[in-house]
Amino acid sequence: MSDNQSTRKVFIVSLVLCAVCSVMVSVAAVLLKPLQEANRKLDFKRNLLIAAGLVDGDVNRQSVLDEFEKIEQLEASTSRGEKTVYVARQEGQITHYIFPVTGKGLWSTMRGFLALSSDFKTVMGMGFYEHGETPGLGGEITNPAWLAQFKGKQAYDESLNVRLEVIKGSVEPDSVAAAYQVDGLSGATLTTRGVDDMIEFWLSEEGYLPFVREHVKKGKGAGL
Amino acid sequence: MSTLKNTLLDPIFKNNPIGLQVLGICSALAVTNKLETSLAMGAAVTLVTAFASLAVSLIRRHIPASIRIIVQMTIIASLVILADQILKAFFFEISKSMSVYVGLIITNCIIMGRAEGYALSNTPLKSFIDGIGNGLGYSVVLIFVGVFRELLGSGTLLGHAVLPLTKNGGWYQPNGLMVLAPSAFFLIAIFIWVVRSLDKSQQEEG
Repeated sequence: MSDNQSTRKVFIVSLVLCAVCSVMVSVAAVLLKPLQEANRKLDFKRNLLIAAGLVDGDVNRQSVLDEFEKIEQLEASTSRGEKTVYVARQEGQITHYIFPVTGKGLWSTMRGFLALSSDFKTVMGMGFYEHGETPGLGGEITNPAWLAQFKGKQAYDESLNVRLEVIKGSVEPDSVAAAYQVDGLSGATLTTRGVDDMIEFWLSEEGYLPFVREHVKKGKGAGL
Repeated sequence: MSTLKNTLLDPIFKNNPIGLQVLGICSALAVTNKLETSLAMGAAVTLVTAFASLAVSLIRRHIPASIRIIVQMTIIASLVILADQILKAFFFEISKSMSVYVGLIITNCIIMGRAEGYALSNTPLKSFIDGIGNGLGYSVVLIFVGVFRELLGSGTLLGHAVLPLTKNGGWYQPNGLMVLAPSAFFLIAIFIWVVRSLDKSQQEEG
């Protein structure tokens, strides 16, 4: 056992061990990568469709792929570079514009989708597919019951000012602003503020507003 | 054979790593708010502990004492990365809900404890069985905590509604505390209390 302690032995053992471990880890990473990539893409598509309210939460793999096939993709230039806007149609008429949105929560970058109606006024749905907020508190941003509040709210007023907001506490149902407001999550003030900032940013001039303006005009031109 | 059986079964109640040794508490708090993640975490930790102990035991005569902790860490870390990759490839939803905690299996004291305390001085087969046993002991506690937290906190078990929630027109008002990590402290304490009341030999002298 004594030669186990020699410097030579220490070097040999650590080198061999590291070589074996790195081969094992790399082989696994390379072999499993295609599967993981496929999962990630499917998850993205599934969450996009759920956020827009086009499918239910317990949808299966095949219908996700089928539904996603029907979605058109448009380019929108924003201050954060080119973004893809997803467009859903029903019988030729546009029903949803689905915008990818990202923003900083309390701990993490939150990634999700905001879906608007064809005139960009009404919110069709909201959803997140990636975040690292506290489970049970900020993590509730993925709670379908909370997300359901977004549906039917107004994103812009008549002159395309951003009005949609997530407020602290509960919305006063009789107030004039109720059509634009969503209840904040209790116990998750900072995450809520992050969601609010995110919405404001992406609906503004720096985000998708130029795209929105262009398509509102087009829509009117086509006599919609 | 009876000793092998004891090696497997002892850590489940008699010498439970969480119950008696109070190891591995951190992840028992973190991932137990749903039963599904508790099960996945239990399975991942069981496999990692078993294979880490096996690997350490196989090369135990060649590990220089001066770098033995680093050698164990390297083996454990590689196995955890493997587990993480496999979860991402085959159980994407679960891996998403466990997020960083899969990677944090590395820091689970039970795995290191079994490698250092058992596998270094026992044969590979015994070490492997010991790893499985301790992993199962850990899983039992996680499942216990997960069942209560999901049931009382969300009214569901494995995602199926069991207690109808008031917000969906039922009668059960979910207990918000159960969703948060501190509730796991209470549940683990209750678990330890019950086990130690049944098996007086586990009680510590006051």
